[in-house]
Amino acid sequence: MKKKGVNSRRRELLKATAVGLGAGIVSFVAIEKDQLMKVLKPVSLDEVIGLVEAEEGLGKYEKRAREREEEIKKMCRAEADKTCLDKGEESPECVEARSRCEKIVVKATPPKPGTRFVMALDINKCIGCRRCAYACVMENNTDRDTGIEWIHVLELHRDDLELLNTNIDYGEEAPRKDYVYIPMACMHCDEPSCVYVCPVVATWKEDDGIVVVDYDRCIGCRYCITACPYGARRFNWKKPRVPILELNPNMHILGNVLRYPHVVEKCIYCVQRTRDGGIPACVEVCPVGARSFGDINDPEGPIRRILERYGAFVLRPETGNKPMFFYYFGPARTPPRSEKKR
Amino acid sequence: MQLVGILIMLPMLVAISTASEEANIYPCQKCHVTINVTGITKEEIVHNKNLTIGAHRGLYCANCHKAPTVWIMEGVNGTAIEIGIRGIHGREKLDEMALVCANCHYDIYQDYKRLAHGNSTFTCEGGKIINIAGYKGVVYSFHECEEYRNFTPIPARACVECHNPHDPTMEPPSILPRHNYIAPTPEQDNVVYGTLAVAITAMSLVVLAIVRGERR
Amino acid sequence: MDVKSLVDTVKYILVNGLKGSKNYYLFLAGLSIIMVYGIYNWVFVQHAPIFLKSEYGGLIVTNLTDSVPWGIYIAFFIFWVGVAAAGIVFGLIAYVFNNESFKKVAILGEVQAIASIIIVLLLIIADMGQPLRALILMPQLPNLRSMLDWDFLVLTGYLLINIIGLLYTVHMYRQDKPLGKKFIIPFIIIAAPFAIGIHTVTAFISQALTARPIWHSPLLAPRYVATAFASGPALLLLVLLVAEKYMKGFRVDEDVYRKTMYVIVGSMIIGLYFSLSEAQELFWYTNEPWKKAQAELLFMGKGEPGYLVVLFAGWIILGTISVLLALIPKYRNSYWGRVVIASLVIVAVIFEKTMTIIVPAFIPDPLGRYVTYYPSPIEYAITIGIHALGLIIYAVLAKASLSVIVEHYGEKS
Repeated sequence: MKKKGVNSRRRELLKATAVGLGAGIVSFVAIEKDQLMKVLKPVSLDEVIGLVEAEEGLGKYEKRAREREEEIKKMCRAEADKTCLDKGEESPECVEARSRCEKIVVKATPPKPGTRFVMALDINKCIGCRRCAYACVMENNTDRDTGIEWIHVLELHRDDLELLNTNIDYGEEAPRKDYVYIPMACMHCDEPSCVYVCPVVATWKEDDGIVVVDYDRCIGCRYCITACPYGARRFNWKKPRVPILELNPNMHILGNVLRYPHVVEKCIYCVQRTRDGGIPACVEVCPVGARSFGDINDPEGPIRRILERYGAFVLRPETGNKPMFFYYFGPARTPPRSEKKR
Repeated sequence: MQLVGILIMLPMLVAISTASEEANIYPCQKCHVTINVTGITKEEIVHNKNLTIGAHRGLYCANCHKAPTVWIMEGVNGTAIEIGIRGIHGREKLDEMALVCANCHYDIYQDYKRLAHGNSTFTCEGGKIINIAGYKGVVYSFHECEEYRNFTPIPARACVECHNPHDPTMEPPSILPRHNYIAPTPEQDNVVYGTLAVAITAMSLVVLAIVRGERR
Repeated sequence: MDVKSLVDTVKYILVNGLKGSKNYYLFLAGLSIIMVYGIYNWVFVQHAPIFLKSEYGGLIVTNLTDSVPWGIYIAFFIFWVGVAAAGIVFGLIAYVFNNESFKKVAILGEVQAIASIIIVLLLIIADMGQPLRALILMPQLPNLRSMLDWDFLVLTGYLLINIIGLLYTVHMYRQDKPLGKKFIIPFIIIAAPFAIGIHTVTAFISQALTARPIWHSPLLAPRYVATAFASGPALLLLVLLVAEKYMKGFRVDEDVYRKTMYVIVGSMIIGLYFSLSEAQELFWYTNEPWKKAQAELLFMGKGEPGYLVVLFAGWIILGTISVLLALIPKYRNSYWGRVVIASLVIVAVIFEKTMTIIVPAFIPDPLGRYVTYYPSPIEYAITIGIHALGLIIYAVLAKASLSVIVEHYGEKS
């Protein structure tokens, strides 16, 4: 008697399993094959280890950059339509939004051989105004909801350059007497810990010295954030949102292209500008000219000039990362705000 | 003698005082034929220039403005440079004034030429730079270009655009608002209630199981 | 052995493990509710932008920040890797030291290892931003310098080893055959280093980073292994005591309990000694500001969060009490004494190995900011859900394997 009961229960279990399995297979096949392929093959191996034949003058990420450009343009046009519906077809917002969408370009500019990009910052000049941090936000399409900022400016007493006793919440009384202001972002180290610890090779140091993140590979484990001794990396804790009127159409696939949720990002020396001959946004906006950017191998460039005349130091050299961001005490000091206007 | 000079000038000054402050005094030849700036002059009341204060207080007017044609100054390479005034002249003219500053500040001038002093920016072909007020009030230079390739870096401003030659120390600009480095976590009251409900239900089931008699 | 009998063994394990008295079903049902709630929160709230492509949700719902990117998930990951590593203890004593009483309970070590590794893998997947990408990209192009890749490798390897061991043991015992030497010797030779290896690699993830001074010490890996060998056998002890009560015909030799207590006490003493050594290194002469600031947060409670110093003090106090209790034979050899000592050990090691290791390394952060971390409700929900799933698997597999033990060794055992 008992055996019959057990047998019938076993049959029920098998029947249920079969039905479940059948339903699973049907839904599996019914998913769009494209989406499925995207999930199963986020990044092709050839792209990463360089088996793809690079076209003349173009980088090996060109194909992916094209695809991403199409996707972003589609998203942008949907947003622009929404704006136009809201504000009307003739409104300046609508016109600007539509023109912004058409200008979008996702480049994949490769590094120029023999270049080594380095940034220098004059601590005597910096007044802690934070314009570099916020121009960086405007340039690099960072998430506005969580307010991701790649550069953080710290206030330190001049006598004590220990990065522990910093104050990041100083206010309008800056620059204070006897205090220095140190903007910190990615140092683009020569032996970066963050590159060593990434489990999927989603971040690496390019030939021109820029440490980049491949947003299609990043798995969001946050090991690199843990490994960076300069607190340079940021995480997209939610889906990043950039208002369409603040979108920077000049994008690079390894730089400021629109990111996904749950990937890591950081300063990329404005690769969308610098690889085409420009200068980063932080250098451009600094009102006291504290920042300089250039190729350390260029004998006529600003970096060589600064290193020869003023010398430089780096922060936290004891961590052994060999940061390529030089701080120096330049020839003249911006007066503190408390000194009376003469 | 000077009193007579001022009396001659007064009606002309009144006549052209309706124009802008600097336009008033430019070009110098509007009112002057020559200007005899003597060696110990440090103040000029009419044009409101005062060299007794500021970073150039060690100088006299005659150090840069050489009589009798004081609107023509000497550059570091010996050329004669006509005066360029911020607000009146364009960037090209103002750039020439750098050679005058280089007379004393030659090393800074070299830094400037190699983009190691002061702002730099870049230009693209057929493009323009639009300054827009952006995130937290920063004035961001939006580069509108036909295609975003082939940029050329240039110094952003001439010497005199940042430094007033008579009071050269730049006042520190304003400080923008604080960083936000902690993103606030959304409200999770329903998660709290849900977890409590689930935990209580589950625990009661488990306790029931244990209490209902366990001996074999 | 052919495929059909293997399938039979698997079926036996599942059917036997899932079938039971009404109380057993109530127990499993309670845990299942928690598990489903935890998984719901993970799929539909925390990882909604990934799985549902939604605009809401995301890891923003946790209290993790750029300053403290690892929290409760990684904290409990470390604890459970330790528990898994210690599953090998019973196997070692049974087969290397040829102890008959331990041979009867060695299978429980494998069961504990499997359940713990599953909890560990689920915690990691719950914490990762893009889990599907991880599963595909890590094998596609791993970075052999990254300890996280090695961790993944050894964890899955250890899981496979234990599954094979469990299946083989159940298979043999069902047919009333003893375990062959040709299986046991290679098994132990591979499994024992793997067991130490999983916890060593877990420690290597943290200890080589110059960016986190309080972790940057070679003592981290030995510390982990010592406390693992205290908490793992303690959990096994508790499960044995529970199984004796609820499982018909299952009896454990007194020798098992005694030897397990020795292992637990010895490991606890070593663990406490390592804490002493750490305290001296951090405070005696150290003037390194960052290391000192992190240590003062943990040892003296200077700064937020305040629970760190409470947990650390709890580890020292409960650990010492459990060691002292265990040194007294009256408590060590009594039923309730063993329950209390094992529970104290497990609680003490949880205090020492979860938040007190992870959080102080991030506060203060490299920019000198003190950003505090208290887990958010959803992190609790998901963590408890994963633990419930682990407990279900533990119960099911333990029931199946222990009933096979009873059958094999007979009622008299």
